[in-house]
Amino acid sequence: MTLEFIALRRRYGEVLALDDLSFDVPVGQVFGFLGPNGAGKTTAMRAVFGLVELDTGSVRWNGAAIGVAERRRFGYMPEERGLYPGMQIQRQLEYLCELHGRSASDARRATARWLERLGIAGRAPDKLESLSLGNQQRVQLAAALIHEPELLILDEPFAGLDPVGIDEVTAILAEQARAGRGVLFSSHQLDLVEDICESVAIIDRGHLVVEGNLDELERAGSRRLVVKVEGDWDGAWARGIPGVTISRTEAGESRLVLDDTVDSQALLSQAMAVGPVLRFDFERRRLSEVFREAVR
Amino acid sequence: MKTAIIISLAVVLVGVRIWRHRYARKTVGASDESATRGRRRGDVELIARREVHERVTSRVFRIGTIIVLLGVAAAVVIPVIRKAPTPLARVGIVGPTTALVRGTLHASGTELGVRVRVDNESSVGAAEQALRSGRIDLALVDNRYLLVDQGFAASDTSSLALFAGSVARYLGVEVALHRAGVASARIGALTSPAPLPITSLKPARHHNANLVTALYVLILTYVLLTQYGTWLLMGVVEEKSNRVVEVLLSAVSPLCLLIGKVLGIGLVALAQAATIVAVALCLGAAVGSNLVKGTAPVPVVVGLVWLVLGYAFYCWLYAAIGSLVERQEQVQSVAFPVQLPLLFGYIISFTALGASSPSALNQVLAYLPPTAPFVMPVLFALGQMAWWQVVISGLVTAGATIGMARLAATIYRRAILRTGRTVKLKEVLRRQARPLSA
Repeated sequence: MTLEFIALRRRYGEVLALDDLSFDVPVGQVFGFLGPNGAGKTTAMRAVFGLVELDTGSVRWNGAAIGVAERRRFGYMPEERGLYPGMQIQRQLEYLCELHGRSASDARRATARWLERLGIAGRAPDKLESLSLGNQQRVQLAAALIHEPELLILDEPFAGLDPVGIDEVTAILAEQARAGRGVLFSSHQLDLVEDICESVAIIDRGHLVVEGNLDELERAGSRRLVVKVEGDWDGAWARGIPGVTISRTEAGESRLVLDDTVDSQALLSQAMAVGPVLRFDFERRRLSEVFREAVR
Repeated sequence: MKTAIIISLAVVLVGVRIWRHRYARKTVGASDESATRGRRRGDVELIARREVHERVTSRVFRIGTIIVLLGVAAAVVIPVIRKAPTPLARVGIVGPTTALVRGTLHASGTELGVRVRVDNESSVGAAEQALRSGRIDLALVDNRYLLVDQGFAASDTSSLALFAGSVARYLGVEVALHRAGVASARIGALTSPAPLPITSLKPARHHNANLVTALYVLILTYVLLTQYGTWLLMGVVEEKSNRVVEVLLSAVSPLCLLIGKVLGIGLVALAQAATIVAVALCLGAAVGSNLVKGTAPVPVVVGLVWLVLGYAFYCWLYAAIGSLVERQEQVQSVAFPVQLPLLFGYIISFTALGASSPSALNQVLAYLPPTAPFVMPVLFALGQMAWWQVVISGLVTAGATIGMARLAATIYRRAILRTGRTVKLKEVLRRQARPLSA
């Protein structure tokens, strides 16, 4: 099962929110959707639920167009959180669960289960507005999960959460992915995305700039090597070696960028010739670096 | 009257039961058209049920309803309590008397709205003593004169003074006829003749009962339509302003959400209106209020039907403008244009209450959907419109309601997800404006 964004295009007056945006979201893994503010992430996510009328392009689920019946099997957490402030939490979740096609008894059971799981079972009869913002956020997450969706679309799910809340949500997303569901979420917290995502798509000005497996993205590009040689403080030994560039030296560690012609074993020998080699390992690119390069 | 209300409520309840049974919610996954239709009906029912539950269980609704019912109860009961009791004239008779004289005493009392109690006094002295002690108010002595404790001034308009004057006149006539040699048997016929028939050049003004009915129906229609329209408006604005609409529309279509909301609030409104009318009529019957005496069942039922038709017409308008608004504080300003035709229909209907025949303007307004819910039930209650004219006007309003619903659905679809500022009507009515899928 795959969620496909196919050549989405949407213009708001002079602003091109989506510009021929295409990428696939496979199920069974947590997929990060990244981009600077105003890049078009929310517009693309809303398009999945028909909340945005596209100029051209389409969003497909398992190769077919998405209708109301399919949307009922998706879970959505919008960026601007929205529930009834004056409605009882339990009734609210049951109502939303039933709106997604579940029976009343299923809705009752699922509500009890999720409130228990999120640690707010004792607040079930309370009105939403009586909860703290963090707990309201938990209820919003429960509203997206309550009907056991095939696909979860979460817009900034970690915004406003404390570290404990972040851990809870992280665990739930991983659990959903392990259960074979699709999980797509947007976030600006790149370290977090790096920790929990297997794949990402990065968009800028409505256009896809990077997409792929996070591991491969971080390994891609020039090889980066961190070398520490005893007695060497500025990486002088590496200067002048063809194909090697010193990007930075810090605390006696030199960060080298190697091109494809450089033999790392030969480089190790050259380092050992200078003195004992205390560190010699390849470094992956951080997601933040991938992101900055992509949206530069 | 009570029977008619009970039957109406029973019909509504049975209808809802049948509707719920027929359109029981289908499970997700069925893909054929009938399943889709069933699912949409299930969505509408679910949304309507939430509206009903949230309103009926809200403290504001319960307290508001209790206050309205207390107000209605006060309006019914207080006039009855405050109504002055019928005055009593106690008459003592000295000497022999006849059935004719006793009949004259009671006839005078009836004419003046005075109850009369007649006792015999053994002598003039006893009558004088009874007058001084206040046991009787008036004594008739030997059919020759009336005796009272305190004399009446010429300007005295008290019940007793008027009664004494009336009795004195009638008995004077009877004594004069008797002295003139008219037989006692004929005196009664001469002093209480059959009245002459009255004919008129113009028809009589409305019977008071119909006028009262028309007035009640008119006030109730205006107050409830304004209130229920505002409920709907606030409900739509609430969902838009707190963004819950985005969560809802990720699972249901805008049309289902709109219809469910209109239906749910409409059911609560109908139940509340029926309760108010039922309480008013039952209480009125229990305390003997003029409210019940002054109402006629058919015009009241027609009034309730027009209340439903009026809600059906205006609710779409309120929902549509609610979708344009960004915040609750803007509700009053956007509601005003919708309330203008309501106010116009209400005020213009008052002119019909005082007229013996409908004006040309009222005859036209009785067929126009924005004003018909006010003008038509009033004219019908006053007997100035036939039932077939009510039916035609109802059909016109029902047809216009379909058009209004379509327009409102278009506005709602195009505006409900546009947030950040108040949406201008012309923006959503532009041909190229893009709606969400229905």
